[in-house]
Amino acid sequence: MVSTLPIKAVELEPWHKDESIQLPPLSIEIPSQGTTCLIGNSSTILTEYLRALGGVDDLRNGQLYLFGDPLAGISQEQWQQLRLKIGFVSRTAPLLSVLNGLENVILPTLYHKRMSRAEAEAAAKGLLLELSCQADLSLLPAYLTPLERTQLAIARGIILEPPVMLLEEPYHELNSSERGSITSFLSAWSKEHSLVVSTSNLNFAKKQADRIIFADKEKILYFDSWQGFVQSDETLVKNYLQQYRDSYYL
Amino acid sequence: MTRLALSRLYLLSGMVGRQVLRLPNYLIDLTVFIIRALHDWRMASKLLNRATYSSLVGQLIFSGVDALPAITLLSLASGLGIVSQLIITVQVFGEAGDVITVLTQVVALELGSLLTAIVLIGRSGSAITIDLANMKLNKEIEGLELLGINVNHFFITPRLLGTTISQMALVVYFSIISVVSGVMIAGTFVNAGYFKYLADIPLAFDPYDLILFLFKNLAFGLLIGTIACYHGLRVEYSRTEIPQQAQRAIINSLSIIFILNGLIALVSS
Repeated sequence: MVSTLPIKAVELEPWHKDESIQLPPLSIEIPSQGTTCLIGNSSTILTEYLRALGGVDDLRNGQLYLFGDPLAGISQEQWQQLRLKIGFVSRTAPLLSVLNGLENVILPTLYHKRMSRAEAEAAAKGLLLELSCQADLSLLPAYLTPLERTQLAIARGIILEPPVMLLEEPYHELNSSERGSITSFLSAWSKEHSLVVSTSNLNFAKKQADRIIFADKEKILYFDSWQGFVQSDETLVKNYLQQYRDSYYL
Repeated sequence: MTRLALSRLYLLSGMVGRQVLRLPNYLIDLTVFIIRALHDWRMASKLLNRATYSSLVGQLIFSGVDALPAITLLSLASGLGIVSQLIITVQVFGEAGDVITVLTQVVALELGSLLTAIVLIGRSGSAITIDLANMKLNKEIEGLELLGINVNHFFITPRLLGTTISQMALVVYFSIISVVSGVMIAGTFVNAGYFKYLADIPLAFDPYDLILFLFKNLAFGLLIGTIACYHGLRVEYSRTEIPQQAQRAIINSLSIIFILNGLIALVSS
């Protein structure tokens, strides 16, 4: 169990794709258990904050501490070692197309020499069982369904048993009937680990979020619960929720 | 008018300067690329782990084993069209020693290296460039970086080793098949006396030439892999860049291999 905070951001400002726009600073301490949801109007901005929080991209301003240590100035080797402790499943970084499903999941363990091949395969199959994944693991990712690819990507992201995982829009390719298995797994996983999810799936945030960060290009808002979020007087939040007022989610 | 002429002169000199600097810049980029790849390989706790070993085996199968039919066909065709003709032609004007010198120096040590390199560039070099470029555009490479996997160690090193070992193995295979088949054809259809070359040729190789041959083909294989990987990873935004980079990889590989071959021949002579 990790004693220090897995992620601490102090006045963290990510780079926006339009560099002339300066995003508002984010300050947060993410504990070692529970689910933090990043919500907002722009998925691009959410991704930029998520990547900054995960130590993936350079910061425009501010400080990021991962497991108590500042990210600034670390070497490439240290950054690579850090990746073993922070799972990051990116929407835009899919599975390796030239390896089959099982090989994709066990690749990190083989590369980092964490387990023998037999142990890695057993661990991967165990994880995929927890994810209710029924994919034919001998197939290349291109032949799998979006749900199966998402399940494999999550399994690959946590097979090294990182204490914290950041997920970028895990539901973006899934229809509502496919979301249950992912949500059940993430719910169980976040009881003992730290999960940070950028999502537009408000149903997930409603059920799972222990804290919500509403990120917009104008300001950042912090909420301790879903109730706090929906009862907010902030116009930005009201307008955002307005879009979903009559929807399935609320 | 004078200002216009001056401005044109500046533009022209700028263009000439950029063109002149292009080749040195490219060579510096390639050198830095290979140094970084080898540095990351050296920094790894083990030169090859199970994941990179699988990648290397895959590369050897693709670049080496799968290329055997093409190399076999090419070497037999060279034996028929070049070696047998050389034997017959040189025999008319020279001694048996001249035939052996031509077969060892020209066919086995020079022709074999170049033709094998051409096949490797066309088959594996272009495939490596396209493969890496697609993976980079699809962000598959970033996905692995986020898992703490070193791109140079996982993607580049196995490919460099794969093309280097494949070039070495294929050139030896090509040289043997082409010389033996050429002698067999000439001996069978022209003069049975030519069969004696089969026994004489292996003894005619100079150790210095063999070392140079090994060094040259190591360099060829390494360069083919390096140039292919370098251009594959140069793709940034669009799929339209892939054929452009593949084309550059092929042309640059061919140019550099031929120039290097010429330089080595010049130095060794």
